[in-house]
Amino acid sequence: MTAQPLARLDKPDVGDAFLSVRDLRVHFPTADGLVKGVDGLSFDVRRGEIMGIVGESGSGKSVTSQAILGLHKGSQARITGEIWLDGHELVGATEEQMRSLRGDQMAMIFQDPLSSMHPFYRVGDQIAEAYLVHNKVSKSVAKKRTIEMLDRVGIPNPDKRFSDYPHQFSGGMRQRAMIAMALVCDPKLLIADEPTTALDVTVQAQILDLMKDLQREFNSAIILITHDLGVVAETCDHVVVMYGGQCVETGSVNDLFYEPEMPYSWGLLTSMPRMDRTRQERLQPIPGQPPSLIRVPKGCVFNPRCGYTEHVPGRRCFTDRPDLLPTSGGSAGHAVRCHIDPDERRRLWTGDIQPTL
Amino acid sequence: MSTAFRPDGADAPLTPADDTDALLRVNNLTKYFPIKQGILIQRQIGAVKAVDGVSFAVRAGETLGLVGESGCGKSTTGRVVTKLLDPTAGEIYFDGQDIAKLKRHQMRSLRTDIQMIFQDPYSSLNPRHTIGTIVGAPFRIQKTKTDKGVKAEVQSLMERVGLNPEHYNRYPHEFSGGQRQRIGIARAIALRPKLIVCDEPVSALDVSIQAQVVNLLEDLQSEFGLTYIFVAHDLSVVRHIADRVAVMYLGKVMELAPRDTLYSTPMHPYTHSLMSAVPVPDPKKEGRRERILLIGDLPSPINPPPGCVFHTRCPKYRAVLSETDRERCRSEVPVLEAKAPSQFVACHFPEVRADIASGEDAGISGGESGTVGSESEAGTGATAL
Ligand SMILES: Nc1ncnc2c1ncn2[C@@H]1O[C@H](COP(=O)(O)OP(=O)(O)OP(=O)(O)O)[C@@H](O)[C@H]1O
Ligand SMILES: Nc1ncnc2c1ncn2[C@@H]1O[C@H](COP(=O)(O)OP(=O)(O)O)[C@@H](O)[C@H]1O
Ligand code: SF4
Ligand code: SF4
Ligand SMILES: [Mg+2]
Ligand SMILES: [Mg+2]
Repeated sequence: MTAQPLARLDKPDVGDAFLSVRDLRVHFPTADGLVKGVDGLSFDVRRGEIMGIVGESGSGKSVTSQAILGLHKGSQARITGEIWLDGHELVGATEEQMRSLRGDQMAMIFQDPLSSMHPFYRVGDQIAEAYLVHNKVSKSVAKKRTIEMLDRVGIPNPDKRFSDYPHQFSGGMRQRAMIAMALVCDPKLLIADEPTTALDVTVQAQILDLMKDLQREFNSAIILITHDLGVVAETCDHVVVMYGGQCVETGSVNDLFYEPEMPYSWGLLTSMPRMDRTRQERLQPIPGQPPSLIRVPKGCVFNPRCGYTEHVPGRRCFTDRPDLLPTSGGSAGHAVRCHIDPDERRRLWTGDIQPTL
Repeated sequence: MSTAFRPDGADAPLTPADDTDALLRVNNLTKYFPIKQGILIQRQIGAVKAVDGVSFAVRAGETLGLVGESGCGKSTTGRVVTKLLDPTAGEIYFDGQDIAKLKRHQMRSLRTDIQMIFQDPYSSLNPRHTIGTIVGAPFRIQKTKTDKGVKAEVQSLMERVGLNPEHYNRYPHEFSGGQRQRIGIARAIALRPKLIVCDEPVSALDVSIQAQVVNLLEDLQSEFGLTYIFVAHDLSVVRHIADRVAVMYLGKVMELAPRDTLYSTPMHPYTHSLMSAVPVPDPKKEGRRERILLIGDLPSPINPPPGCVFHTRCPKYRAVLSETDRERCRSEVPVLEAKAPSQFVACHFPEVRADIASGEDAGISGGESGTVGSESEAGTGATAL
């Protein structure tokens, strides 16, 4: 396996990254063939930083977060690569080691809070239980801590609400309770998988505000998985754009929104109707369908939908998989997987794409 | 106190259903779902007021957007208009005829003239039927075509919506979400309807696929002269596709206006909050926007607040109004009436906020589309007003 050039790392140690994912591959053997859910993904997250992962459905976002949390252990999944969390390597860790890290060092917020809270137990008891698993304290201390957390995430009358069942909470309140449960042990890494996708924009705004507060207050490292570029622009510091199980572009939010260099990132920006710009007569979709992860296209994964293959001499888009390489002009940490010559990429963006947004 | 805008000095305020030339006119539409209790003898103990006095009109060839938070009654409105549900009260004039009290099966023309496209491309297609059967069903019910004729017609429809006609014998699970939505669209346009209610047709799709389907719907509209009611919760998509937009909250229309008016000069406090909550994909702008956060949860539609249904969460009610004014919000239901030309607002204290939609060019754009704004530096222009 060839080493992938890393996005914001050139030295072998992980620098100040709290989480470092290196050349992660998660493959699932199935009756139809090998599903390459994640195929050579590398990125770093520091403490106090919100890292966004964007990409269309099936691009491997959830599989990545499950791998970090060790949720594939004991399944058929074949995992290679390295995941470093604060000096511990997780791909080789045992299920037991992972269990003690989950909740304590790292926690997860899921898209659907109903599926992650048990319907038959009181909300407060579930959060207190999560605290008791990792802390040797009395029940009353755990209850006090839970009420504090419920209050912290903005549940009104937390001492009364402690005894409610999940169905007695509204969608937004359940999501807050989930966040309270995820944060009750002060995890240093929080992974939020589409935490607001099922919510209305008004509730989403409240939850995103809350996450930003928590990031500032607890200096947590946060991974925010979403398909909404508006959410990324509002919340994240850095972004990984995933396509077909790979990171095709990574950088700061400013890199992604003002100087993207990869045709798929361009496509995401042009296909989206925007409330903040002059209304376009017509949207510019990315043609075609997302790739099959069983028969991944040879060469660049994006080639069947890419309108720029002519800009690469010798049909290399169809023969060689591009590496994730640092951009020449951009900020440190901005890296792109595309064969187009860097100067040409920037010309295309500033000349052809940006003016149409 | 703001008074209704009266175009010709007439006494009666213009209501949104006054548009008598419209293809569809809905007046005071109400749909309550009874809540029953008891095992043998069912007693009604209350009702979910899903739609509670909604009025609007849709002109031939236009797209009316219906936005609002989950549970506010958008889909129910759509289902009542298509007569998949019977209204509890109110009038629905389609092509001049009141169809509110007719059953769907009583109206042959209704079954061809009004169609619906659903949100969930998975559950709205029968998994045991082939695409040919699904898209051909409307023709078979009509019995106007031979089997061969149906197949040819279905294949041309498939081609028109961007599906491979050779996939005539495939099943829904063999298609992606976007393709399944195309199947639903092919079925809806089969009988050349006049009106299509699109209930969140692109909400379940990824942005790149969403744009393909939006473009297809627009192309079909101009090709066949279709009229759309486009239900969605995504305000950006609705701004792109709709000519006029109705904003709903708890079973009522809060504001109804032409698209550019609504997005550049919204007047209802709820519209303000809703628009300010939409995250825009521009990090520099995002940092400078004011977000009008709503506090508290959506009240139950079983027991909506008296007076203005929004008063329990209205930022203006909470922070700006005097106690006398608040008393009015609590006791008197605001009527949806014209507060500016073509802009209907259900609020006692409406106010133009032009700074909400957040674009440098979100100001008065006057309806000329296609003019690219004059902004030079990307994303750093000043917000309008
Ligand atoms: N068959 C039914 N019986 C009882 N209540 C119903 C029924 N159908 C809808 N409702 C209720 O009516 C209200 C409006 O529902 P509707 O489906 O129209 O909302 P919506 O705006 O389409 O929301 P969403 O965006 O979640 O689909 C909700 O409170 C809903 O729970
Ligand atoms: N347990 C599994 N077995 C087989 N394939 C899987 C499994 N889990 C996920 N996949 C596949 O991996 C790909 C990425 O999935 P996922 O990460 O869930 O996508 P998303 O980006 O929407 O979260 C998809 O093609 C999915 O079908
Ligand atoms: S490598 Fe080729 S196919 Fe891939 S994004 Fe660049 S131009 Fe397109
Ligand atoms: S009527 Fe009163 S409570 Fe209702 S929206 Fe207007 S100001 Fe707010
Ligand atoms: Mg997912
Ligand atoms: Mg709905």
